[in-house]
Amino acid sequence: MKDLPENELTILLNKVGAGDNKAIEIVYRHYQATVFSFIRLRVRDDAAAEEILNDTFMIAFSKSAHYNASSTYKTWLCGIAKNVCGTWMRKQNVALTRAMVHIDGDELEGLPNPDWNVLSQLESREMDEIIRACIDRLPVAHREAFFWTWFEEEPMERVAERLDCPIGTIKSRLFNARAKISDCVRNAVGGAQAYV
Amino acid sequence: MSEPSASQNDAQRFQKLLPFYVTRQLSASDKDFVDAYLADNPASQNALQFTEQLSQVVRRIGADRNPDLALQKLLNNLTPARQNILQRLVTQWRSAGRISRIFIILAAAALLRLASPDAWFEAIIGLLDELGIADAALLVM
Repeated sequence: MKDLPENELTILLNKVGAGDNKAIEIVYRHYQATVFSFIRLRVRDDAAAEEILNDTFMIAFSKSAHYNASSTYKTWLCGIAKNVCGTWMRKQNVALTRAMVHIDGDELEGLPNPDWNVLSQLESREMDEIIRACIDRLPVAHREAFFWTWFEEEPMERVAERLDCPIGTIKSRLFNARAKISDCVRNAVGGAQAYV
Repeated sequence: MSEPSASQNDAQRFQKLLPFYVTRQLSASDKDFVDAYLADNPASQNALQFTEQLSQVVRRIGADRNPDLALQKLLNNLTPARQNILQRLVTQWRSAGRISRIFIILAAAALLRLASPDAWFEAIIGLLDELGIADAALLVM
């Protein structure tokens, strides 16, 4: 999703600051899907993601004068969302209670060859649900890499910049995550062996 | 540990590029490499399909939700927040001492007179009426 043009955004945010509901609606509709997806991939809970989305825009719209265009507005919103998610996670103690797939570092070399054919075993809607559940079991760094790579469709250099790591790490992280999801899906559909 | 063979290197490079191949974010040379690898290794189509489905699942996150409901809730939450600011101003006004209120009104009147010499009196009376501050209006008069 592209940011609103800078001039248009500035005008809209001035109106938002003055309490113009129409401007609020335009900005909200433009960014809400991206921010929701960003949040949902962090907290792994639909209802919580809705609450955090609401809180994120409440903060953003009540502090619209604080946005200084040093980053894109989308990045600024995701920064607020990340902080609100952190607060929510601490309150819920989610990090300690949810099971997560364990991934050792971001090394690619030495991994067995995953069974990519596992998808052919299920109907696509059912498979989507299983994949979503498997994504939820990944560490947050891998989920965030998915978000910038596939939801935002950013180039690898930009994803690496956002996640503050080398491009090679991003590539390895994405491979590891896909391999683990293949493993998770295989387990979910009843297979005992994830790798062939 | 032995060095990976050329085919292993190609396989690794292919796997590393796939996530960005499905979003068309590769350079022309990397894209050509992936296209050639797919043509030479038909079994690698499974990896491509898996990656495409995974990327589609990520893209569909939140696609079934209704943003109108969330927007309405946000607007409902924002309105009281804005009203609270006005209420705070009114409360502060009411809690201010009589001398302070007179001073504020006189300062506002002076500013309005400078800004609008013809209509300053009507403007400040209108403002006071709007705020429902009748006693203050009487003080000005």
